[in-house]
Parts: sequence; structure tokens; C-alpha cells
Amino acid sequence: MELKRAGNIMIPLDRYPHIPYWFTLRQAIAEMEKSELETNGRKSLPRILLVFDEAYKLLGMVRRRDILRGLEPKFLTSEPLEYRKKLFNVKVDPTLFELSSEKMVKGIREQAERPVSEVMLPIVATVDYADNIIKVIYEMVDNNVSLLPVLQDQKVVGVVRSVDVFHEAARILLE
Amino acid sequence: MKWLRNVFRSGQEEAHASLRALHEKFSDFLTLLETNNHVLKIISDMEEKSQGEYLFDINYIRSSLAEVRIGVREIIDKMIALGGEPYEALREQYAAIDAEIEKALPGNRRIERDDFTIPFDKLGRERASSVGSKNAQLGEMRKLGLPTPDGFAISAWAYKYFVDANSLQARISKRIESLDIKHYSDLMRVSEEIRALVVSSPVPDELAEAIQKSYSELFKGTSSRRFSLRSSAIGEDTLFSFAGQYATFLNVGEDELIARYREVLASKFTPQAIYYFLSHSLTESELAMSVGCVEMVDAASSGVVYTRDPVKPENGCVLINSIFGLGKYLVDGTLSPDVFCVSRDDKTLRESRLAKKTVRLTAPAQGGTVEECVPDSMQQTASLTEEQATLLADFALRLEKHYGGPQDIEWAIDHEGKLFLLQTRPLRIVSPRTTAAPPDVSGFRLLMAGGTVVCPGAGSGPVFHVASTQDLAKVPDGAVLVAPHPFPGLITAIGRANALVARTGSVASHMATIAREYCIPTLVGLEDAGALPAGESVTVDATGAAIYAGAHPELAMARRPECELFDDTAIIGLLNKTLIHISPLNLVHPGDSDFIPQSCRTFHDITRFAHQKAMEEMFSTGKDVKHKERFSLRLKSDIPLQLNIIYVDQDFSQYGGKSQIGENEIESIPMKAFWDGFRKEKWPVRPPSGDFKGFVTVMTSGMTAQGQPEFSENSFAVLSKEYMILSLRMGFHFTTIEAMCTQEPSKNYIRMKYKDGGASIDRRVRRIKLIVDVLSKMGFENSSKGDFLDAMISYIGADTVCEKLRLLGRINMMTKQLDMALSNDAIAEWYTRDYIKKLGLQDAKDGGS
Repeated sequence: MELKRAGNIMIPLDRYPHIPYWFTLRQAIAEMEKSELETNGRKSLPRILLVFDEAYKLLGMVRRRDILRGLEPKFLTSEPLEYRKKLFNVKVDPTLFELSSEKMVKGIREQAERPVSEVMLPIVATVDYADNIIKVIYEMVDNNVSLLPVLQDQKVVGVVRSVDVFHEAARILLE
Repeated sequence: MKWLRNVFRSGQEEAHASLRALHEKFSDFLTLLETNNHVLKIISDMEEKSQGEYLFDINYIRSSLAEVRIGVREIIDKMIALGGEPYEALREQYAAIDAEIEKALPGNRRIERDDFTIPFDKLGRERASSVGSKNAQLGEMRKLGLPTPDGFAISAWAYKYFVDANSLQARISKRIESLDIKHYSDLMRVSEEIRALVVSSPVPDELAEAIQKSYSELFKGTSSRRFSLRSSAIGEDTLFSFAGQYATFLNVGEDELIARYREVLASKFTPQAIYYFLSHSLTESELAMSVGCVEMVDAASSGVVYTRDPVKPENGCVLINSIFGLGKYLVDGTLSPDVFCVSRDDKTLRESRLAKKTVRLTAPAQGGTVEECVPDSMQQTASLTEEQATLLADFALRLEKHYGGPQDIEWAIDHEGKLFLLQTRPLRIVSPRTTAAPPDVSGFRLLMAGGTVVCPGAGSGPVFHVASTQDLAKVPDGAVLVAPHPFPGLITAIGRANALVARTGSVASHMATIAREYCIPTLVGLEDAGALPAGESVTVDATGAAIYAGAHPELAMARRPECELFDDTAIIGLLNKTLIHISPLNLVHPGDSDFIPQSCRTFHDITRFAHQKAMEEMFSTGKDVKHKERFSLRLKSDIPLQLNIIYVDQDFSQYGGKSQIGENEIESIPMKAFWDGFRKEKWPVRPPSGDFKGFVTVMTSGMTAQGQPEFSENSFAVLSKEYMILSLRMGFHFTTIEAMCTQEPSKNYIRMKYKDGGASIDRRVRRIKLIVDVLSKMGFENSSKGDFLDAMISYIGADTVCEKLRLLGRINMMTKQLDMALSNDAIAEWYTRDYIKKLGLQDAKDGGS
């Protein structure tokens, strides 16, 4: 059985959502919520966005949890972690929840205007278009990432997601 | 080193020449806009006059036309100066249109050589140009075998002979041309001067002899030697009625013949006669006066017969008015006449209404006329027998048949009971016009009031807001259209509208012309019109400049005559004939393939074409200016755009070597507005490089960035106080924004071109669609192709220009590299909605906040 290569299972860049680094968290959320990716007849929402600079160079990536982290209201992030934990300790009594939802929403809205560059992650690894799937799996595991940019002639041409690699592994093992 | 200095100097000279050329072009451009505006105003005024609500005369038509001609020629000259040879074709087009206008205007008809006097027996209607209609018709009636008094005509040629012999024409013309008919005192003065001039001028001997000779022949062998001298002006009694304008002398004797003849000629210049022909587009030079010398009928009774009732033409009656004595007391209104209605079918008397006729005018043997009392026993008897009435009706209907139209005939019956027809002319049937009192609107709920009336009238219907051409297809029948400004595209929906309201606009806009052509009640300049509730029924009372809640068809009905005021009186007819070649707009969309000089069929087309093309030429001139780096100022700003500014209304040397200016030093209203908006949206600031530690940037191949490093080419602006052309290179997209912002809405416009981008074509196209949607909300007309957009808005007030420029500034910043993010339609739609909201452009009906 011939192993597929990164280029075979990647999503080409023109189909994958990406934004410039100065776009806001709010815009990043819209981008994720409105983009539907279809591979082999399966639809999914992107979990990660690519971030580019003004010269269209790939700068980094931003995951859902990075965005969520970025949304935490300022009045909370300025407090020590212990204090924050306590605020949400509603197991004892839910009515003890000390924050008004209005105040929360306002705080989140404010934070949503921050640029994604403030929460994005650097690109720590890439794979080549011709790399086989074993190499791809290796890079994902080794770097603990679920998405890898695919380079061809030193230029980004697409991305491979862990889910695509997983599907490929399933095909090999289950068929 | 010398060669280097030379090179530098020659470069310097070229740069100066380039700047001079730019200044000149800009000045030509401004002149063109200015002239265009002026011409449109005159055209609009002429159109307004053609609605029949204002007083004007032939001098008005001539002077307006002269101004329009000068203006259009100037526009063409400037267009050629701006764009060169391709626009030469406009000259030909102008000449062709002008030739048509010339044909429509009454020329200075030449008076043909003829005999000084011509007996009625030799006359027919074909001789009207020589002897006037009144004389010619007397000859024509004789030919038909109808009874008329004998006589002869003193021809127009005789008049010309008299005028030339005394060099009167120039002196008369000079006085009339300086006349303003709205000032009656002026009219009086001029009239008196001219009449004095005519009456004091001698009749040349050879003319006097010819008249005497004809007179002797006329009365050869008759006992009665009395006659009447009647005016018969050329042109009189045909298209124009002239009723009662010129003098008639009754019962004149031989000794008075020449003096009275001269007085009839002078009567052409009574104030009312001058007024009449000025207001009927006739010039005195074409109205030569012929005079009829007619055997006096010693009338027992006389009057007028109309072959139809002029106010109720459908009632099938010949209408006869009759009094005792000479007819003068009837036509001048001294007496109320007996009225006889004779059936047109069987010529039987249907009805007679007798009036009390206390006096009559008679022609005594010693000459002149005398009023005498009618004996009491006669006062209420019929002045006409049934037999006579029937005979008269019969003659009248024969004349109607002969002339092919209703006639207005003067007649007299002498003491022997012999009937004479004295004159016939076409009868003007006037359809009754509703002259109802202004409608009562006291019970209506007023929604808003104000604005400028572009087309009077009133119309009801559901409110439909039109923001752009895209909305037009959805306009329901019978809607009240509410538009942000009267943009040309509205024409496609106007046929379905009952009324039109625009927040801005003026009577000079293209759309105003069209609204009037279509008689759509139209109000413009109603700032709050955007607040009219969509879908709700309202009534726009354009005449009253008010909008009421609910449908009020009775108001629309009552206002109807006002928007159908088109009148067919001669002067308005002439104005309309002229306007056919001046005001209709055939060239509407610059994108159409027939938007070329050869398609210009009216002066308005030429101005429209030139206006559009002038903007385009200015645009490319500004863009391609050479050596601009040598005479431009760099804009100091924290926005990292290398923006160079060239002022076209300032002398570069005044900067004294200064090479930079600050943002608050911008001396251009449109540029200031744009830059305000531009700054409002933040330029992306790259975090300090430390923050990006560990970030390796990776080149991308999926992008189509053309490999040009960012900002390789400087952005620049060509500015004046009221104008800007700004060319920005925003990273991967180019945008050029041109704007004119003056106090004259008709001169103002904004145009934006937007192209390219760094992302793949589908994302660039999505971005263009997003911009189109946003700009449509702002009232722009957009034409886009792929990732290229050309958007335009015009005829808007200065404040609106600035407001829209601020928005464009923001939009340009907000869409910088937005294409990158538009990976699918859903996300593009989300951004469109988000931006429309951010920019405050959502409709009331979309739900605010």
C-alpha cells in the first residue's frame, strides 16, 4: 500500500480560512463560525485560523481556545488566578456567582476588539508537500499541534489537519 | 559636474512645464464644470417656463438660447482642450442640433415684392403672406360666392416701402429689444415713442398715389363713398388670434384715407399689441402690416358667429351673437348680445336668448360713428330673424367645411336686409380647466413639509426606499419612491411611481428633467425623507411641499391640472419646439456602448457627455502627471503611506522649499473629509518585533500578490480647495477617489475606482461585492467587473459629499486586505452586514442599533 503524502491530504490554502494579524478576535470568530470545510463529503468547522502579515507571509495561527482565552474580560485578567477561580466556584451555591451577565458581556465585547496578533501562536513546524504521512504524524505528535502548514518550494500551499491524518490512518487500518 | 547640473536644470524645466500643463487642464476642467452647471440651470429654467405657469416672451427664448449656445460651445472647447481630438466630433454634433433649433425658430421672414394695392377680387387665402389673413380671407370668401363687402388691400410690401423710406425698422427694433414686458410703464413709453415715430413719418408719394387710385376705382359709379380701414397684419388671424389688437377705423372718408392708413400702421405698436406679439413669439420684423380698405356696410344689426360653442363644443350648435348697429359694441364688450343657437344638423333655431340692447353704434353720412338710443319698443326684440339666423349658420358651416375647422366669423346685415360676411378666422376651442379652489388639507396628518418642488402635483402610494439601482427592480406599481438623491438610474422605475421624493437634489439635476417629462409629482431636498416609514401609505403634495399620512386620492385629483399645465399657446409651443433639441436626455449611462459624441441628439446630451468625459480626462491627467515628485509635498502622518500632494490652485514657489505638510494643514475640503475617515479606522500597527519572537514568517504561494513590495509606488493627491483626486496604493489594492465639493450640488460628485488585491481572485471578487453593497447603501451607482469597481455619485450637497468621503475613507481602511479573510460567501455576507452596521448605513427597517 502506497502511503499518501502531505500534498495529497492537505486542504489547499485558497480553501482554508485565514486573516491578517490586525483583524479582531470578533472577526476571527466570525471567520470560524462562517467557514465550513468539506473534505471527502464531510463537513466541519475550522478549529484553527492561519494569520498572515501585510505582505502575505504566514505569521502564525490562532486556535479556538486562544480566542476564548483572549476574550476573558480585563477586570478578571488583572486579578490573581486564585481570585478568578473563586469567582466561578458555583458548586457550593450557584447564586453566589458574583458577576452580572451584563458586565461580563460588556467585558467580552471589549476584549473581542483586540487584534488576533495578541493571542496567536507561532508556527513551530511545517511539512513539505512531498512528505509522507508518517512524517506528518511525527511532526504533529512531536510538536503537539493539530495543524501543519504544507510548504512547496518554501511557500505555503495548504494545511494538513490532525483529523485528515486521522482519516488517512483509519483508511489504512480499517480497510 | 556641469553636465549633471544641466541634466538637473532641464529636468526642472520639464517639471515646471508639467505642473503648468496640469494647472491649465485643471482650470479648463473647472470652467467646464462651471459652464455645465450654468447651462443646466438655463435649460431647467426654460423647462420650467414651458410648463406654462410663467410669463415670458420671444426675447426670453432668444436670450436663453443664446446663452445655452455660448455655454455648450464653451463646454466643447474645454472638452477638446482636456481630451483632444476624440472630442472634435462634438462640434459636428453641435452644428447638427443647432441647425434643427434654427429651423424651429421663427426666422425673419422676408416680405415679398408685390403691388402696393390689390383688389379683393384678386385675393385668396394663398395671398395671406402679402396682404394679411383678414384681407386674404375676404378674397377667399368672395371666391366661394359668399357675400362680402368690396374693397382692396394695401399690401405688406407697401408697409415695407413706407418703413424703408423713413428708415423706421432699426429705430423700432432698437426700442423693442430693450423692452421688458413685465413692466407696463416701459411698455407704455416705448409704445408711445414708436407710434409717434410712425405717425410723423410721411407716406411716400408713389404709395399715396397707388392707394388713391385704387380707392377711386373701388367707388367708381357708387353713391356711397365711405369705407372702413382695417388692419390685416401678416400672421394675424392664423395661428395667433390677435383679436382686437390693431386699429380699425370705421366710416372713413376719402380725405382721411392716407392719415388713417398711417394710424393703422402705428396701431401695430400699441402697448397691448406689443405685449401680444412679444408674448406670442412674433417679432415685429416679421409682422408687416397690411391694411384693408373695405366698403362700409351700414349695419342694421351685426355680430359674430361661432361654428361651435367654444366652451361646450360637443353641444352641436352654431352660436350666433347679435346686436343692433355696428358690431364694434359687441366685440369690445359694450353690449350683451342676443344669443341664437342653431342646430349644426338641420340648421333650425334651437334656442334664442334675447338681451336688452339699449344703444347701438351707427355710421352717419358725415363720417365716423355715433351712438344712439334704441327705441324702447325695439330694445328687447330679436336683432336677427330666424331666417337670417339659419342663413348665417349655413354660411358659417360652409366656411367651416372649406377651412376644415371651426370658424369665428364677423357679419353685418344692412338696412336692406342684405347679409355680409366681414371676416373669418379659426376658432380656438378651449377645454375647460379645473379651477377648483386649493384642496382642503386641514384634516390630513402632516408627516413632513419643505423641500423644493421639481414637478408640481400630488401622488399617493406606499413608501418605497430606493438606495441604489439594485433596488429599482423591486419598486412596486404605484409606489412613492424615496431616494437619497435623484440619481439617473431612477428613470427605470419612474413609470411605476406615483410620486418621487429625494433627500437632496435640485431642479437642475438630470432626474428633475425626467420627472417633469413624466409629470411625476416630485419633491427634492427633503432632508428627513429617509424617515418615512417603508410600506406605509402616504400622499406627497409636491405643489404644497408637504407629505401627509395615508392615501388622499382627492388631493392627487385636485392637483392633477397643475402637473398637466402644458399649454398650447403659441409661445409655449415655440419654446417646446426649441426644447426638443435642447433638454431631453438620451445619454444616461456612461457604461453604454452608445455613450459617444455621435449619440448626442440634444444640447443636454452634449453637456452630459462632456461632463462625464471631462471627469475621466481629469482623472487620468492627474494620475499620469509627470515629474510630480519635483513639485509635490509629502504628507506627514503616522499612517505609513508615502502620500505626495500637488495643489493645482496654489503656486508651488510659495512653499519656499518646504517639502512636507502636516495632516492639519491640508487645504482641500474633500481631502480633509476623506482623510478624517481614513484616520478614524486605525492603520494596522505591527506589534513591536519582540512580541513576534519565535514567529517565522513563511512566504505564501497561494496568494497572487504580484510580487511588488508594498508601497513601491507612492500614493499621491492632486488637490484644490474644492477638488481632489487621490490615488492610493493600499498594500495590494489600488484605489482612486475623485471628488468635487462646492456649494453647487449640480457640480459635485464623488467617484471611486477600486481594483486588485493580494488574495485569490474569488476572494477579491467577494471584497468588491461587499464594497458594492456598502456603496449602494450610500447611494452610489456602481459598475463592477471581476475585482474592479467604478462607483459614482453626483448632484449632492457639499455636506453630503464630505459625509460620504469620510465614509469612503473608513471603507478604504476597513477593506485593506479584507479579501484575505473572505474565504466563502457566508463570511463575506457577515462582513457586509457588519460593515454596514459599523458605518451606520443600516435602514430603519433593518432594525437600528
